[in-house]
Amino acid sequence: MPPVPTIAVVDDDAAIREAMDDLVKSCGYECRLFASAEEFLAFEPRSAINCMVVDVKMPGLSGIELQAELNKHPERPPMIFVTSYEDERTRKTAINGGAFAFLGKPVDIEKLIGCVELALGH
Amino acid sequence: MSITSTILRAGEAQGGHNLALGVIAVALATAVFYVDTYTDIEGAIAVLYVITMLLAAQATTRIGLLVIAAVCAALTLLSYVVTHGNSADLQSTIRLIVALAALLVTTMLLLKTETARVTLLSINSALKESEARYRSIFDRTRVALWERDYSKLRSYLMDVRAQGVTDIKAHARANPAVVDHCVDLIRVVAANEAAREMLGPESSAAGVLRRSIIRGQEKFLDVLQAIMDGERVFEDKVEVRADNGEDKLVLFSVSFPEDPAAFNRVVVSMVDITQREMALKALAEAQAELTKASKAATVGAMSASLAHELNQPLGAIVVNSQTLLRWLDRDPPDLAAVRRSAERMIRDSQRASEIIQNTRSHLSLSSNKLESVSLDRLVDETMALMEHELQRSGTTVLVDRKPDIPPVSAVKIELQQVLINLITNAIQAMDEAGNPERIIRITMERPDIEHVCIAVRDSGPGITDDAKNKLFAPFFTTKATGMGMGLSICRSTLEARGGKLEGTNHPEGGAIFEMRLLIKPEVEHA
Repeated sequence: MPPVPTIAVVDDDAAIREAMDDLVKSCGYECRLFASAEEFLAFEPRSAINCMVVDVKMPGLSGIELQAELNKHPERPPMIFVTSYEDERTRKTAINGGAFAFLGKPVDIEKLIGCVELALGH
Repeated sequence: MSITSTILRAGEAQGGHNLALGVIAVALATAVFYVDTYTDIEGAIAVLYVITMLLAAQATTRIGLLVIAAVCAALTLLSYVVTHGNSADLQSTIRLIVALAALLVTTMLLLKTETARVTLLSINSALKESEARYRSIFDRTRVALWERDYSKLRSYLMDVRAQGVTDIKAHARANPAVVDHCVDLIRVVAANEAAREMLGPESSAAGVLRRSIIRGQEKFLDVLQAIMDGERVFEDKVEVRADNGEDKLVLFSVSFPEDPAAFNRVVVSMVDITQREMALKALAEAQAELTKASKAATVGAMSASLAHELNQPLGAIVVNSQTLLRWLDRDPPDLAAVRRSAERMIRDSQRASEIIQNTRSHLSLSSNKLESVSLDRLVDETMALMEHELQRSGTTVLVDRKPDIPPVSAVKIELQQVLINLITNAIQAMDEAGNPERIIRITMERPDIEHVCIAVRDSGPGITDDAKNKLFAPFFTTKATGMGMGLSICRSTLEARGGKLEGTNHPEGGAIFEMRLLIKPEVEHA
């Protein structure tokens, strides 16, 4: 039996984190919750994370800044961005930075699960 | 020449006349001297020198007069010496003294007359100068001026007052012909250039006053009242119509003289303030526009922040509900997980509703502070705000004040908005019906211990049966460009504070709207 993939959820809103946690678990994955980009950067080992679902707009480092920070290292998990602001420039920055997907809020669950599965290489 | 000018009066037109007087005077003096000296007529002939002096006085100065007096006295003495030189008797001496005394007294009197004449002359020339100055100011000033003869009007008004009339407005309402009659009694005496420019040549021509005050007779009646009450000044903003049909707003001002006889030349002035008023109006409109814009901006900012805050719990609810379906779709369904999802959804929904609640209470806290509002002052301030509207439409507002109306605890701006709405509706209703007499009556009452009422009654056509039931329904309107929100908002504004708004027809005609307010709202009905 292959090891269960772990999905990291980075979002400043507690209700969203909890809902995402349960959703990820209902799909049969492990889930780790982070309330901010800084909290994620402090986490070791990063290799334990197979995929990330990141909110764009957060106090402190934004999702985009987190991406730039992670891009400094050769290895990083695929990033799926979620945002309530459909802003073309942010979207382009994210995609150019190697984002796996860029989804709008409120999130379409089927689409999100599809993206996660794709990112995990299923 | 210098002696001539010292003795004779200078600069007078009737030189020939003076010369003739001089010749007669000299001839007379010669004749008197001849008779006195060479005839045997006994008597105070020398007294006749007085006539010489009276004649000469017409043409001489003070010094001339003294010289002539001296000459006459010398001639008298000479005659005396020649005729009675060596046989002086008492009789002739007395005659001499009488003659000299007559000369002295005449000289004194003539000197006094001369002084008075000179004073009179200088006063007269000062008066002439003053008149010329006044005339030049009258003609040249940029203020439009008329000289009007109000004397007939004044005596007519005084007659009317003697008959016991004190309120000319009431009198004119009862006798509509009075106004025209009064206008006919005024005569234009003169008008200056600025006046001709302002109203045109017809309105400024001397003769019968052409009617230029428009929009009802109220202002003209105010002028009549001022004359009747013996006031010295009348000043007000008045709308006038020029010969070319153009309407102008002017500052109209009349100073009435103290002396009734001077009412034949009363100065009336007008300053065109149309531009100024238009600028003020544009300013007020711009301010209203700005308030609206800033309100819209506030609403925009508020809804953006509200949308952002609501997005979080709503997003969580969407995820939770879809997750719940996934747990439910399992075989067998994971009911414990379903319950957890449902509980999170309830929690998030409550959070969303709290956000909305907070925003509402924040909104109502920021602007709606209860304060003690005096209804008298509320009405006064509202009328001041609406002055232009009332004047434009020729509407008279009669306020029935009662001394025992307590202040109410309310949000002043709310009450003001309702009052403005009711007054505007009344003006428009009377406007549309084309009422000749536009009167709004505002009454205040205290029907019971807890409430006060403000009623706004118009002299319009009243509310139609058709409109009666829908009066306060949103989007119902009788106006061509109305939105139908005014009364509906007014009513809910008052109801939010425990008040009421009712509209009906007054038994004596016209619509009446009554605001019923709690003096002390116990709780804030948010």
